[in-house]
Amino acid sequence: MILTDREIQTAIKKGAIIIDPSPSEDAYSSTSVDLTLDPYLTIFNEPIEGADTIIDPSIKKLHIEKTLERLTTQEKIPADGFIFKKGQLILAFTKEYIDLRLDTKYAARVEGKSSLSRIGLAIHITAPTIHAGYDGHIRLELVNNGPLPIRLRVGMPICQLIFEQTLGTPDKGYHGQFAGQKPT
Amino acid sequence: MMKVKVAEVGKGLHHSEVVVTVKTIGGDQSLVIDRRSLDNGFIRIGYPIRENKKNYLIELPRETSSGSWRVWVNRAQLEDEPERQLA
Repeated sequence: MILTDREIQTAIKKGAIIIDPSPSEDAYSSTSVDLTLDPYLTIFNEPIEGADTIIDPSIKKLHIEKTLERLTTQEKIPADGFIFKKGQLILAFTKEYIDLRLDTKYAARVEGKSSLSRIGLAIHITAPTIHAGYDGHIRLELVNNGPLPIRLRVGMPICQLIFEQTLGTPDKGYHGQFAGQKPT
Repeated sequence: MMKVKVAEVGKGLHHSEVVVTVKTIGGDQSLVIDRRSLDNGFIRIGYPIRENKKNYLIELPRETSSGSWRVWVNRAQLEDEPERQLA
């Protein structure tokens, strides 16, 4: 079941959903709320010709964060915006911190905005689920699939969050089995 | 609810993030979390999913570097966490 704007606002008032900073009134639509672009981008370094790097996700000891740290550079979006080249992949974050309380049966999906989709801007690569209990800024995988470069600016509405109520409580939010137990 | 012991091992891509490791029965697993989630070396994990002798199956708040959500940890890694009240 998807939450309407009124239900999202009620959940925020109750503290069941936290969005910080709080979205403005015009950030809501009937069934979603827009989130905005954080100033910091993670940009993949240009490959060195003749020294190709291959990432092998099946290697058990692969440490994705360390790998990304080596292969990327952090950049702050300048005042006149960041020119996002066509075909490029960059990692970004929402400016807003999200907390979906585990015991309140809310999950969410981060989705693109149609106005940006039409110019080729994708905001995630097949990983839209924000699980019940998630807290943090939302990581975005931005790809410019369009024919032209796109100027990204700090604080621009970049994605929308659609909240859903789960049917039942997930195991980790259900204390029946472990009620009254303490690890000893 | 419960929380699991973690060790901070690095920074995440965003200034709000930290990389932590959880001691599982199969070895250390790393994951990125928001710094706000870190509470004196512990993170909230809700209730354990299963119990097997001295080990508990828990679900982490984020996917680990190797793609796992649920890991087995020794009960010594867990502590009780008071329930948070809604407004």
